[in-house]
Amino acid sequence: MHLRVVTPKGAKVDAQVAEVTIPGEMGDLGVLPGHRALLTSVGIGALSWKPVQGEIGWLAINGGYAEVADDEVVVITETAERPAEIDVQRAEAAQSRVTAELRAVDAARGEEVARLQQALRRAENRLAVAKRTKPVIPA
Amino acid sequence: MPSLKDIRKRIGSVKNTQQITKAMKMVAAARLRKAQEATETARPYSYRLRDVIAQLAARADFSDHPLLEQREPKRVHLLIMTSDRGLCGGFNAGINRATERYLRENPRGHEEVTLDVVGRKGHEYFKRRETPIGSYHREILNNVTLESASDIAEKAIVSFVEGDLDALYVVYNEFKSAISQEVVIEQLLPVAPAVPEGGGELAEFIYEPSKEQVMDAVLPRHITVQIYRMLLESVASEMGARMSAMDSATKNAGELIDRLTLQYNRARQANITKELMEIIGGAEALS
Repeated sequence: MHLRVVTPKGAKVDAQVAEVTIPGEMGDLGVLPGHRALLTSVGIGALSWKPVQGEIGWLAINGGYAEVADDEVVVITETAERPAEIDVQRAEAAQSRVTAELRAVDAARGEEVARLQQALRRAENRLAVAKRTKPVIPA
Repeated sequence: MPSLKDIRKRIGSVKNTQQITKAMKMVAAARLRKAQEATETARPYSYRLRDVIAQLAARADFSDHPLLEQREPKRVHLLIMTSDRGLCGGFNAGINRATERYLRENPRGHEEVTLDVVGRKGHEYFKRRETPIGSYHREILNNVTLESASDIAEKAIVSFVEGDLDALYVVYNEFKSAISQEVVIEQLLPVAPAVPEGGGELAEFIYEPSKEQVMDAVLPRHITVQIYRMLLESVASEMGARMSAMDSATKNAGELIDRLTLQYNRARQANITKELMEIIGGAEALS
């Protein structure tokens, strides 16, 4: 099975894999070779894959789509960062800043709250992927 | 026969021009590098997205999403991408010619064709010819962003969904290399389905969360991303065209300077010879 991850900044992954876990908007999706054709929107989360040989790979991805067809997984996403590319300090700073802002903001302003929650999820996702674990997504 | 002073002046002015074309070439080369990089990084993303969309459209029914509806292309828009500045060889002329030919030949039998124009050069050209212009997008070429592409896309999507527009085609210069670009006409709306390979039945997709939600998100995004890529291609082509145009202008100026210098030296020598003859003639007359 082939995995391709592309972003507007170029291709990130182009490899033969044995298994892929896609962070779908409705929850994680495991894809094994021979999966049925699938098209899903992708949320903020960790994409991981088991290559045919070698170690499990991780990417922090941020929205987009994933297509499974003809034994090929194509993930089209806005950003994709490998654990080594993640700026942990920046993500931590963002996490504490956004948490504080969330506490201060008026809960009635739904749009603002949603925007901040997204930002918080992005920061937490980055931190989780930097540690090569799944982010804990609040229910 | 021009005087020595005239030739000298002429050489000076050609040299000045050469300096300008040389500087423009350098600037275009630097901007080309940037634009080429941007185009090449955006390509895999937009091509992949286009493949996914084609797969999706091949499996979907026209009734599944308004952007898939194939109507007879009666009222259409041509989005043409030219540049704001000239001195870039055949770059704009190519687009204008291809557009005019399309309007004249009308291969798909449209009833009404309106132009949407990017770039001052195309706008001036078609305004003078009184071709109907629907919209003119200005000041987006200096810094091509997804936002400006999304503005153009949204306008087209809205009029397509409302039925004011049956199809959208884009005329732009596809970037081949620094010295070559090719004018292409591509259909963006309605979204065209992929031709199934081997004619076999395609397995239906599983959609998550639902068919409607996936299509609502992915189709407009696709239009935006394609326009974004085309804008980048167009800018890179423009820089490439300008670089080659300025390179040959610099070379031509060099040749002209060589010719003029030769002419100048000949004239100078002729002058000296003439003076010598006069002196010798004078001396002979006295003796």
